[in-house]
Amino acid sequence: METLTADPVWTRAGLLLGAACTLAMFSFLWRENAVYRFFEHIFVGLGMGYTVAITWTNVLKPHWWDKRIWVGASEEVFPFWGLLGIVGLLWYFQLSKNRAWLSRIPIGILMGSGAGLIFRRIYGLFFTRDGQVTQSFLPLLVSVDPAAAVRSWNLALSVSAAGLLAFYAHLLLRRFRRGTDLPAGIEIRLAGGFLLILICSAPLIPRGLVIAWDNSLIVLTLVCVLCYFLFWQEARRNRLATGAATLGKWLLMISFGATFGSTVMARLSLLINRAQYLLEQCLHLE
Amino acid sequence: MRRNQPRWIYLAMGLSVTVPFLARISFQMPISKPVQRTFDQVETLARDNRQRDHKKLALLVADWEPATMAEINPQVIALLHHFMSREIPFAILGFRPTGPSLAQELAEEVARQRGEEYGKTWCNWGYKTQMDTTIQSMLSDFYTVVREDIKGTPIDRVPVMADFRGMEDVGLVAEFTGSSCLLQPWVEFVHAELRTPIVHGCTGVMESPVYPLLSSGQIQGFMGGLSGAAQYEQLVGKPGKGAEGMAAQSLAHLLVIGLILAANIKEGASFLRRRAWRP
Repeated sequence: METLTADPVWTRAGLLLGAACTLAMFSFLWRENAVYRFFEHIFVGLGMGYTVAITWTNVLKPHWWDKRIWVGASEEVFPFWGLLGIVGLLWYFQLSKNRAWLSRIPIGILMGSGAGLIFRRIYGLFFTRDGQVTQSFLPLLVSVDPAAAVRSWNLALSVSAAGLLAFYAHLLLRRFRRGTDLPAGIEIRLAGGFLLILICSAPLIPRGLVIAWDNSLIVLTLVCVLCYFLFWQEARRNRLATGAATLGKWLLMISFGATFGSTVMARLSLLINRAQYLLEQCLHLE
Repeated sequence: MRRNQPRWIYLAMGLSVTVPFLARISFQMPISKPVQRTFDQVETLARDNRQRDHKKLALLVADWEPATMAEINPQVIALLHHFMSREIPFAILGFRPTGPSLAQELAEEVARQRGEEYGKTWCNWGYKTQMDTTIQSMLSDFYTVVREDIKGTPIDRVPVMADFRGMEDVGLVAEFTGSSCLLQPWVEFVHAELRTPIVHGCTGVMESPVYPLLSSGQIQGFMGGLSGAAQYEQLVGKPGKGAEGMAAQSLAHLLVIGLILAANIKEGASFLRRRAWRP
C-alpha cells in the first residue's frame, strides 16, 4: 500500500478520482441526476464498508477473535466470550417478524449498562463543583470598587438621564403639536430607551457590574426557559407565567438563531475545503 | 430567470469562495477568548513540563470523521505545531473508527516538517470502542485498556511512554470532534476525577453548546470551526488552511448577508406596492 501511495501516477489518479467525486456531488446543484445518485451510493457504501472493516481489524479481531476465540492463538481462550458473540448476533432477529423478541436480549443488556453508566455521567456533568447545575447558582450582586462604581455610574446615569429627558421632550412636543394623548405602549418605549442608553454606556460600567449583569441575564434566561417548558399550561391562567414563558420562547429563538448562524459557517467551511482541494491540489493554482 | 434563480445564487457562492484563493486575500483575525485560553493552557503544560522530572503527555482525542475534516483538520495541525514547538509529548486516541488514522496522517505531516519522529515525540493508542467504559477503565488501570500502539508495538516499549504510569500523567486532554456528546465523558470522568484540563476543537455548529461548559470551568478553552483554526494558526505563527479559508468564508458571508438584505428589500417594496394599489 505504501508503494502505491508513494507512486506519483497513483497519487495523480487518486487526486483525479477525488475531483471527479467532488464535481459529481456538486452536479446536484444543477438538478438531481444519475451521476450524482451513483456517486452518492458509492460514498454511503464506502463509509459503511470502511467502518465494518476497521471495527473487525482494530476491535473484534485483536480483542475478541484472536485472544478469546481462536484456539491456539492465545492462552486467554475462554468459552464465555464465544457465547457473547452469539448474544450479539441475536440483534439480527429484528429482521424476523416471529423471532423479533430475541433481539430484545442484547438491547436490554445495552440499555441496562447504559442506564447504570448514565447515573455517574449525570453526577459528573451537573452536580460536581463546576457542574452545570452548581454553576447556575450565580451571584447577582458582585462586589466592585465603590469609588470606580460611583464615578462610572454617575456618568452612565447622567447620559441616561439626558437621553430620557430628550425622549420626554420629543413626546411632549408631539403631544403639544397634535393635541393628542400619549401614544399606547409608552412604558415599553421608555424602558427600551433606558435600556438602550444603558447598553451604550456599558463600557463605562465597572467590571463587577458587568459580571452581575451577565449573571442576571443567565439566571433570567434559565428561569424563563424553564417556565416555557414546565409551566406552559399554567401560563394560560397566570399573567406573570405567560410573560416569563413568552420571554423564554424568544430567548430560545435567539439561541437557535446563533446556532443556525454557526451552521451556515460550518457548511461554508465544507465548500471552502472542496474549493481548496480542487484549486490547490488538483489544479495547483496556489 | 426566476426558475434559474437558485443556480445563479450557487454560481455567485462558488465565485465568492474561489476568488479569494486566486486573489490570495488574507487578513488578521481578532483572537477570541476561548482560543486564547486554549493556547494559554498548552503554554502552561509546556512550562510545567520544564519544571518536572518526567514530562506529562498531552492526549489528542481524535473523534472526527471525513465529514468534519474541513473544519477540524486545520485546528489539529495548528495544535500539533504548538505541541511540537514546545516539546510536549502527546498520544493520539480515538473513539470514532476513522479518527486515529486521520490524526496519524496529520501528525506525520507536521512531524516531517519539523523533523520529529514517531515513538519519540508521539504515539498512537489507536481506536477504542465504548467510550464511557473505556475511559473509566483507563482511569482505574490504564495498561489493561491500552496494551499496544497502532503499529502493534507493546505500549511500554514505545519510548515516549517510558515514564507513563497512568491517566494522572496526562497533563492536557484535547478533544476534537463534530459531536458534543463525545466531549462530555471526558468532562464527567477525567476532569471531574483528576481535574485534568480539557481543551476542545469543534465544528462551527457545535460552538453554542460548548460555551456553558467553558463558563462553568469544565473545559478550559476551545476553538470552533475554521475561524477558531485561523486564530490558533495566528497565535502559533503558522498560517495554514484556516487562515486561507477565512477570506473565502468572509466573502461568502457578505454574499449571504447581501442576499438576505436584497430579498427583504424586494419583498418590502412589493408589499408597499400592493398596499398602494389597494382601493
